[in-house]
Amino acid sequence: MSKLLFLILFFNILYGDVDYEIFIEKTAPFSQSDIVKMAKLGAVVALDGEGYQADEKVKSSMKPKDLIDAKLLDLHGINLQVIPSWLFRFQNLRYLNLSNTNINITEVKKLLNNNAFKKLDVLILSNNLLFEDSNESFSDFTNILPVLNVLDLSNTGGRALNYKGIDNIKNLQELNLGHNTIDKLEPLRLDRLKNLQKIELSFNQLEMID
Amino acid sequence: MNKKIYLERRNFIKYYTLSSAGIILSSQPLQANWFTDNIDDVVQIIARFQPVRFIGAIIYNVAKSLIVDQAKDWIVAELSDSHISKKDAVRRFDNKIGESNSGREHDFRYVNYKASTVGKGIAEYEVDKHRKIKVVLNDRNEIQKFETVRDYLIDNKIKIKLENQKYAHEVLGKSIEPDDLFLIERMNMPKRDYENLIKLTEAHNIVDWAV
Repeated sequence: MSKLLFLILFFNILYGDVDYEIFIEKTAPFSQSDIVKMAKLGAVVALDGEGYQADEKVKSSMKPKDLIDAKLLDLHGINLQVIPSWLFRFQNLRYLNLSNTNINITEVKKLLNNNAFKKLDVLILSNNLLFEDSNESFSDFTNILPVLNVLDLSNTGGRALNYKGIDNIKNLQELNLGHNTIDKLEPLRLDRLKNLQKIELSFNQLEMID
Repeated sequence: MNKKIYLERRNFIKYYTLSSAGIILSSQPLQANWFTDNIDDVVQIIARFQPVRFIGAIIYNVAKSLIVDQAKDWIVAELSDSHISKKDAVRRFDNKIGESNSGREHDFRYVNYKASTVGKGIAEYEVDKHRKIKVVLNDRNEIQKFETVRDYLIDNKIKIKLENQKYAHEVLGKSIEPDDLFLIERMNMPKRDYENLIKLTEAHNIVDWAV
């Protein structure tokens, strides 16, 4: 029976009925040791449903298949410093909280350039010194996060030039840039964010907004 | 009456504020066919209001729903303590509720907004243990409009985020209640969907008010 299933699968992959990449990702999403690491760190997930499900801490006893459909991952307050490889396996996330995880812009680039989070609706990167003396910006990101609507970059230690390229995230509706050292808005080209409805700019170095 | 309309028009311009940054959008001169000539601008403005204000305006076809101020907590308390009839609610609270000076308050509270629509005689409600004030629709027209909005959201796979949720999700099935629409914090939909919803629900009062 299993040989028959294998043959069917093999021919499906061969003739294009099954996306090989998807197949690999769905069958081997996490290793059990990944899950143990998540549990030790205190990662929080919401496994299924549409927003009403209660968040719960990852437990070592959880199965890889339990996590593949997680819509929410909350790692805030965990001293990550680098983005763990297992994070890229969460490809169905709608909500990702990386606030106060001690990551920098290099790690954020790793995260976003991976193209793994196509369904992300909310991304929280606040309270990380992303830019400390760095001239890097969001300009290197193109066509990323196609459905991202909410981005929190408050208290990320950036100047105006660091947030250049933010307009590449076309669907943004809410953007929090509070508690930074932004002194001018022109480099951000916010006028290109046609869906922007809410922007937080308090506690920056802006003197006047035209 | 004319005076009232004039004030509402004036306020409509006044309320073109963009969120917490307080960036004031440029106001448009009012002309006879202002809405039809500038529908894109109108939708642009309405899309910046709290989504529940837009929902209220199209379901009740009352433009006042867009700009009514949030009721004070004591009004919420009285309405949620025990049910008050629509007539009594208007008599007691109508003149205690003004107009919002921004269609999108930073401190927006859904139950206070719902209390305003009840106090102004726009909405009917029932007392609810968890939500305090739960919008109910008894009028056939309003029910139809609610169903139109609900079906549009479902058919077009529009994601909405409710007050107590962390991210937006598609409206699944028809279990969504009228009151759920009055908890919408964010709707992930392009401007053309606002325009379509205004047309589908024949929310002429939004048009008449703006013109």
